[in-house]
Amino acid sequence: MAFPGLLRAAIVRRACNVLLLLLAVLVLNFSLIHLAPGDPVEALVGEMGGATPELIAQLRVQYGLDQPFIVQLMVYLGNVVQGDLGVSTYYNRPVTALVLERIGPTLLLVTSSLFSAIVLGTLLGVFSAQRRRSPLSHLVTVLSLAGFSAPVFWLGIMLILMFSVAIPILPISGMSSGDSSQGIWLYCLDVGQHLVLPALTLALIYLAFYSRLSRTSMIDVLDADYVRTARAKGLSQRQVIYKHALRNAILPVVTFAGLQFGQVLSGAVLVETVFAWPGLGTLAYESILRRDAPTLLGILFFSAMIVIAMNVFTDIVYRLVDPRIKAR
Amino acid sequence: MFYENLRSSLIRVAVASAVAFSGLVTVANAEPVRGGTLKTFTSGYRTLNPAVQSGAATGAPGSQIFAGLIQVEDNYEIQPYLAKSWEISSDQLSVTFHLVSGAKFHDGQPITSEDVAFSLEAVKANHPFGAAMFGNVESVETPDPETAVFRMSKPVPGLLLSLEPLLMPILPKHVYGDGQELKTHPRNSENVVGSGPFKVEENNPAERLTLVRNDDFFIPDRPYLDKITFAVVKDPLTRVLMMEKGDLDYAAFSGIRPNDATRLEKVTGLTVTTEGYGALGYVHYLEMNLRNKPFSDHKVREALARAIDTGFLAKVIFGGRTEPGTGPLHTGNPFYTADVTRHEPDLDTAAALLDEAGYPLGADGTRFGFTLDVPSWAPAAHGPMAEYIQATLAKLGIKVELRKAPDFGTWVKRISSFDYEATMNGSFNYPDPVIGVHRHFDCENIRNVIWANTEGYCNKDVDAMLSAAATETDLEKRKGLYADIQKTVAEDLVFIYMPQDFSATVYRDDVGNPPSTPFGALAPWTDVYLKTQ
Amino acid sequence: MNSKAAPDQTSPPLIAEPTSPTRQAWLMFRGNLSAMAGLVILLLILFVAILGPSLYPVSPTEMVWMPLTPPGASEYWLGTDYIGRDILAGLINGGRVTIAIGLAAASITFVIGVTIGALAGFYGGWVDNLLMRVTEFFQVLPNLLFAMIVVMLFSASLTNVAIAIGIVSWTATARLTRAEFMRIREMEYVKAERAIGARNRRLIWSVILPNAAPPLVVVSALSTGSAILFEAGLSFLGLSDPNAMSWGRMIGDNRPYILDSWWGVTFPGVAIFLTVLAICLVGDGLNDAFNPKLRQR
Repeated sequence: MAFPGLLRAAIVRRACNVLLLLLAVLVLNFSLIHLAPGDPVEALVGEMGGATPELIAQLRVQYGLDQPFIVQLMVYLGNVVQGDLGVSTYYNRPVTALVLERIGPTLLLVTSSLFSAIVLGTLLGVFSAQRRRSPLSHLVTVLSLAGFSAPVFWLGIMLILMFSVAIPILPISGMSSGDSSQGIWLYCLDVGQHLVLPALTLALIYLAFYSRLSRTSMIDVLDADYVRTARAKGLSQRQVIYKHALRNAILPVVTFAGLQFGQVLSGAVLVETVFAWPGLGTLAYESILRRDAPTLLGILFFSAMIVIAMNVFTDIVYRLVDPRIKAR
Repeated sequence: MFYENLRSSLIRVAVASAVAFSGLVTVANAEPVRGGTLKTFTSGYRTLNPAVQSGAATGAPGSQIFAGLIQVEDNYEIQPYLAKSWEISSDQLSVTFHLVSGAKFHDGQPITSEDVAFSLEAVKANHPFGAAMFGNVESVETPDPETAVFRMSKPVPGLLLSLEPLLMPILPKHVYGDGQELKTHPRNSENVVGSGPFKVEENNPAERLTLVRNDDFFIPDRPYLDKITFAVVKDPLTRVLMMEKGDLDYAAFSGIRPNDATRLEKVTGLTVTTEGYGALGYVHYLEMNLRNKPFSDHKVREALARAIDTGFLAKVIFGGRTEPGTGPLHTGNPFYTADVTRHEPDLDTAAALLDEAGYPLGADGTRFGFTLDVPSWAPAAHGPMAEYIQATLAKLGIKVELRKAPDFGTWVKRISSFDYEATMNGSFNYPDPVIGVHRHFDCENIRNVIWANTEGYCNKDVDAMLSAAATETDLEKRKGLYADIQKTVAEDLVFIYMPQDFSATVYRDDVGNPPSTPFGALAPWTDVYLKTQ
Repeated sequence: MNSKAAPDQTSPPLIAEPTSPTRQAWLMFRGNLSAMAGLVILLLILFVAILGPSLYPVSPTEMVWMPLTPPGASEYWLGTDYIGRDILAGLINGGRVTIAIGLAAASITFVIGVTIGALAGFYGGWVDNLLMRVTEFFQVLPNLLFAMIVVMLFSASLTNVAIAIGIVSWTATARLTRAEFMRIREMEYVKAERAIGARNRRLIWSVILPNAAPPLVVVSALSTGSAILFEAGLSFLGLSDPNAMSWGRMIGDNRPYILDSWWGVTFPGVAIFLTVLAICLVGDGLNDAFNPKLRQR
């Protein structure tokens, strides 16, 4: 089953675009970090408690920092092409391994909160769009404004104060407490308990956003001609909503979920810091405090890839959901 | 006040569970028992090899993984460890160590005098204090596998103290002697082969470090514990809650603040102690760049010393639980003297001194301004100190601009390249002043290295006293030398000493023999046990 | 809501009086209860930020009382922080910094976003293509992380923080401007202007931009809110000017002490929350006012 020529061309163009984007991410961030004042070797030497000038020079050679900038950049890009993101100056371990260790917890946190926010938010939005003057509708409005206005880290701290300090029913931070010898199910339960508060914090922010978005687009759709026609044809309210309207109302939600993924990762940096969640966000923050340039570059590279993957994924979902695109 | 009410109910719950616990404790054995897992924490470490990394984060697990030649007990008493005995030559220029027979590394290879010689060279070359500690040790001879002879060019009075596992861990030569750079050796964190009472089971720097009992340890029937888990907990707040809930059995270098200590002291079943930090002696100070105006002027420094009320700071920042520092030595150090010049806080005198020094109050209400660097590594102490200094000096007409480097490296770079005006700073004394104190005052140590003599102080008299004290083997004479050094340095106002750090250890009463020697948590935990299994 | 006609409305206006669009919008806005509430809160906050320090002359940096004194237990109503500084003084003085950075960053966002969006939307073709790639680039990077790195590299002065926030937040504004330009550029009156020989520069800045203004005003209001949240996030992480008190920094500084002082983090958080909420309400109100059709939502 050969792709139609046009589609293939579109895919190739898309792939080139992605590669170009990743290259730009690498080059720009590398230049930014390496041209700015300061030097990762100084940080490393500080961590060691001090060192002689000879050692500093030797470490510079070891990390290739004695080379001209262009050479460093080319070497770095060459290594990245071969799948090598360099070695963390702090941990002295390969960046790829470090990042892969941390990516799981972040994806767990982000997807669980985003998924629940999208599902719950869409439902809330859809219901409230049908009864625009109902208390539920007002609740959605209030919730969405509140969710947008509350600093996410502050919300996290408030939840800690409530559920870990005042009524201590949930763990205050981290991803697990016991040792891993307790068996897989107990471990999952343990992680689940630790996940509740950070995921809730992030989810609240996005619940606000998605309930409002889906409410708005649902209203748009309900007022659109084809829905009116469907109603006029005598279809029941339920059929109208779920067969015609919901599908279309979900589109902007899907688009935004993809577009916003970068922002979601940003939120995760704060939430992870508040809850000491061992994900990419805490690694990024720590790497900033240690000026661990290879790790920072690796994290930026990986998060760009995640965002791009999310965009492609939402594109596919979009095509599946949107009848018009399917028809083409 | 909803919060207060809920708090008190929480405390009630905590008390109830603590009572339940103490019931168990009374049933427990008074004799140490084997077994159990000790739960503690780490704030995160770069490497597990103490030979290449100073500080507590590596030191606490590192001293369990690696053995040393000796152990330091209470009152700095030196006890056999891997060395079962030693003889010191009458000229103090050589020490012969006899190793325990049959000692093995974690991989089963025997520990020999070759490894001792290798470790000494490794520490000398790679540890930040390597040269200070062992610069005068010329060679280590290995006449047989169980004998190591240290040959010195000059007497080294602090030698034995420095052979503690934290400062000189015994490394396996067959692992680290492969020609790779030791500082960045992959085996420093992966597949670590040690010589101490515990072996690495799992090392996941993001979450947890697990150590298990070394069944082949060279001291029979030790250690008592089966396992130690170091949970990676970077957030001090979380640690406090974990301690309160009993999730941590033992927490040293916990970074708890005085208010946390007050809180935890109320929890039955927990003990808060400041013991176990004697050998380190954490001293905070305001460091001024003495090379340039205005701080090259003694009068200006004296004005600052008179403006900054360190007694007040000790009350505010450390809840009155620590004392203001008076000099380079910590009040707990055996060589400490209180008999030094002190400048009573007095803003009027300070203003007069500044007038004299040629910094009169300008029309805009200021005399001069300077940038005060604030490092990122002791935020709970240095942040408030810097903010207090800023607010107080403003009253004198000195405009202080705070500069906080988010990352450690930027601060290190500024200070070690002398590109700063003043900075908050602090350092450890370590058991022998040669290690932790000389580095700040020795003229020859004016180097581009952090925690060297970065302020640029050079006094030939002090230099002479320092080198005399480094090799003086008579304890009383040595004390006298350090007393004179402390007096001169205080007189010269090299640094303005802040309140000393508040360091506390918290442990559950279920923990038997909590480490409380001068090295505390950084000494081997061979005798630690859990009362209830 | 307007169906309940005011009693003085004697006769329904058959011929609508010609009122200016701005006036119409204001009338719309005034009738919107939540938007007016937002406006009042916002004005109040601005009043306190501007005049507060002279009305309440306690220094936010001075250690004035015992550390961790709860609210109501001393002459310092909202209590003191972990080194005995007055929380209320911190709130009043911190508001200035927070709001100033929010406004500055939002202006940078506006300038970059509108310029890029306008050029892309107006010229289309390769210009659009190129500028959209740049936009994509900034959308792909997690903006907070990128801003953190910029601040780390170039020191955390107030200016740098505002610039960092500005350069990572403009993509939404750019996309909106681009869409508006693409829509308006096809309008008859633009074509007419073009026909009489108007230059591109005039078309962009004097013809299309004013007509695209309403949604841009709304989005700038909202981006001021986002910038305030952003600044709070950076300060919370310790990436802020240590010489300036700000609400985010108060939360970050007091966070290690929450077990003993809920007030240290709660009050600055509430202040941020109220400010951003007020801005949102005003933004929403403006949106409704500019698009009466959407009113019913």
